[in-house]
Amino acid sequence: MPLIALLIMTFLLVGIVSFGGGYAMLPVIDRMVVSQVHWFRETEFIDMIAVASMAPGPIATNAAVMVGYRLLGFPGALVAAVSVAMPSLVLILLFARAFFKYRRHRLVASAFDVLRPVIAGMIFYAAASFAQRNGLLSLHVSWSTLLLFLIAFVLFARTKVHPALILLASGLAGLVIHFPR
Amino acid sequence: MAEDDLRAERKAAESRLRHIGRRRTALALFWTFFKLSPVTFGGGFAVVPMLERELVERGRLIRREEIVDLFTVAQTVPGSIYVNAGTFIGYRLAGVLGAVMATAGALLPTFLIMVVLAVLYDGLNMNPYVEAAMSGLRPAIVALIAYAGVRVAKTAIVGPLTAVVVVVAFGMLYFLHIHPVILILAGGAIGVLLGFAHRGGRLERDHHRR
Repeated sequence: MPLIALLIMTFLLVGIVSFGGGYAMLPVIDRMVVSQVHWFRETEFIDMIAVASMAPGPIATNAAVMVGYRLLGFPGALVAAVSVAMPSLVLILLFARAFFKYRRHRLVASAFDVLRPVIAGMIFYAAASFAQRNGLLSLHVSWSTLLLFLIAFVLFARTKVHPALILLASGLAGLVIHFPR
Repeated sequence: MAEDDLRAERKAAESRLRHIGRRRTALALFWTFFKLSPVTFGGGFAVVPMLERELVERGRLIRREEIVDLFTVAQTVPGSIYVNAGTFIGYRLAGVLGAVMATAGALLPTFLIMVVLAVLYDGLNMNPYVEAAMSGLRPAIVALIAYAGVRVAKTAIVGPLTAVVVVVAFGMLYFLHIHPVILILAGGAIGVLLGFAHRGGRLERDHHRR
């Protein structure tokens, strides 16, 4: 299959199943572009996600632009972004009326009752698999990495500091700790 | 608010919409969602107050409650909350054209910013300074994702059953390497089946959900 068709298929699928915000989609994107077709190395993928998380906007869209651009340049970015956005646009246009009517339906509500914890599990998995590739989930984890993780987590969870600022500060901290000689 | 006031307000909004015309409304929606898009860092709900100022107070095109309702529905469709809310509000105010324009407006800034970052990243990839900064950024990203998980888990876990689902979903991905899409489909299907089984009530009390 040509690269561009695979790119479109990947991100259409991501667009269809991306319930509950972008981070739950990381395992899907990861699975498709790293483990199945080996477009990127694993650490490369984390770095791309890191950059995608620093930009405003939905993480799934950002990741699509990043992946598309790295593979096929600007046209790739455009195609991936349109693919990821298309399913929800079409769904809403097709079912806008029905959505308002049935969203309180018992079975729909019940489906979401189970989907929400599934999404939570997927996000934790994204965190765990990133941590593993990062060496955070091993006995050889460096103190500075562990400390950066803990400090960042507390800042995200306990303060109202803008997430972009926390990420920026972490990047600066990395620069200071691992300053190239 | 009294029923009559409500009806009058809705009528006034509708006549304003007719007066402005679909195309101009669609253009205005594009610009509104374009402007507010960069504010959506970390979840679409941050924009609600600003959107209210634009569409309710200045434009008086839609009622305040309706915006919140549309944001709630936007969550039940796959995709980003902000972009979906744009599609819904656009459709509600100016039909298909409005939906497409609001969606494009919501996505364009993100797209442009990301392209610039992707170009920069490509150029800086092998730079040792960038590599050093990345070594600090990676653990922070793990923390950000873990925190996103905690936030979703807080609304998702409403009793022992849902707590088990979180753990099982995690385990199936981590240890069994199940494809995540299968997990989502299975989750939805199990939810529907449980809904059939529990006639007359939800799976678990959901009193602390907003």
